Amino acid sequence: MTAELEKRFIKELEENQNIIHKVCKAYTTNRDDHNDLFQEISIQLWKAYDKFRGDSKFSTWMYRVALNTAISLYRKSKRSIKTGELYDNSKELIYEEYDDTTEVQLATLYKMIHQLNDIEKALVLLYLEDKSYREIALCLGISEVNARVKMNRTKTKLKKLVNP
Amino acid sequence: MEDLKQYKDVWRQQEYKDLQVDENTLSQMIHRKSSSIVKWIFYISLIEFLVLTLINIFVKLDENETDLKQMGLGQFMNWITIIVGYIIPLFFIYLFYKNYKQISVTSTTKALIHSILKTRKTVMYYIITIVLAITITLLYSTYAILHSPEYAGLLADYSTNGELLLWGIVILFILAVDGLLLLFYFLLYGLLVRKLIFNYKELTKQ
Repeated sequence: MTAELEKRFIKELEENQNIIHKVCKAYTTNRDDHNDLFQEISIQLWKAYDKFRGDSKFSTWMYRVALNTAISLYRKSKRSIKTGELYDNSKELIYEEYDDTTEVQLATLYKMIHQLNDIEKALVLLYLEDKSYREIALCLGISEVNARVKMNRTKTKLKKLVNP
Repeated sequence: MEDLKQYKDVWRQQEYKDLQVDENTLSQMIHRKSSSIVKWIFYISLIEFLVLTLINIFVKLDENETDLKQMGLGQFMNWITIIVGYIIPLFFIYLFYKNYKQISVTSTTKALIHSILKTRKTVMYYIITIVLAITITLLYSTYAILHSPEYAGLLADYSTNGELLLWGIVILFILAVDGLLLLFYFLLYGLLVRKLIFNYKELTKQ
């Protein structure tokens, strides 16, 4: 691949990196795993970049590759379990009753997401990104009806997790 | 919990200031080696192909061809060697490569998992085929030995239960070899693709 192509890719990757951080934070529970997954997603994106035709937005394409990597290709490294620094969720523990700041809400949200399985996580992430059920179905390779059913089940599961 | 909808705004506001990666680091990062599960499956499968093919070669080298011919097994062993040693591995390597090339991280999640599992299954079928071939060869060879005049006489001298004893040893040997191969395979297979199988079931569940 040419240097020009690489430069363009790095620029787009840098601008859209928050998408990867969102996926990494949903699929990992500590900094080491987050960094590992971030690197793997970046590698996979670069490997697939020459096939990116621009039919969809770069961010949409990126979301698909990032989710696919997290769900299907990523293997958690054993090293990180021992050395990893856990995400700081202390705020949510202290301020849970005054659940009104963005940070606390986010911490609560991630805490819930971490209790879901890989597919449920993908559904919730795409839903939070405001993707339609059609787009969710297209990304995961399931029917639109099935996407709706799964999303409803996931929402019910989340409710049960919070209010057992 | 209130509706998930209420988190949409807060989700969009995320900035990850402390996690930002600059262009220079990203540039280095994309050239590092991938540690994806597909790469591991590829390497492990190649090792399996190589090990089984080497076993075939060594088994052939160790054979005492004159003895086999005396027992009427020369022709049989030649065919077995050609089929198991060359045709089957080449056919499976072609299938494996074809499936491996179809793995694309840009396809749908379901299609991606399906193509990875299909690639891995090709190796599973290869192992089962080789295990079956080894089993059939051993059983047929034992049968031929027992029915060759020279060896049958030897066994009769050795013990009254010579035939039974030989079958017992051969079957135990087959069970041990096949069991070890299958156990090794399923442990490896299980460890590698357990997560994928679970996710695939989740996706296909209605």
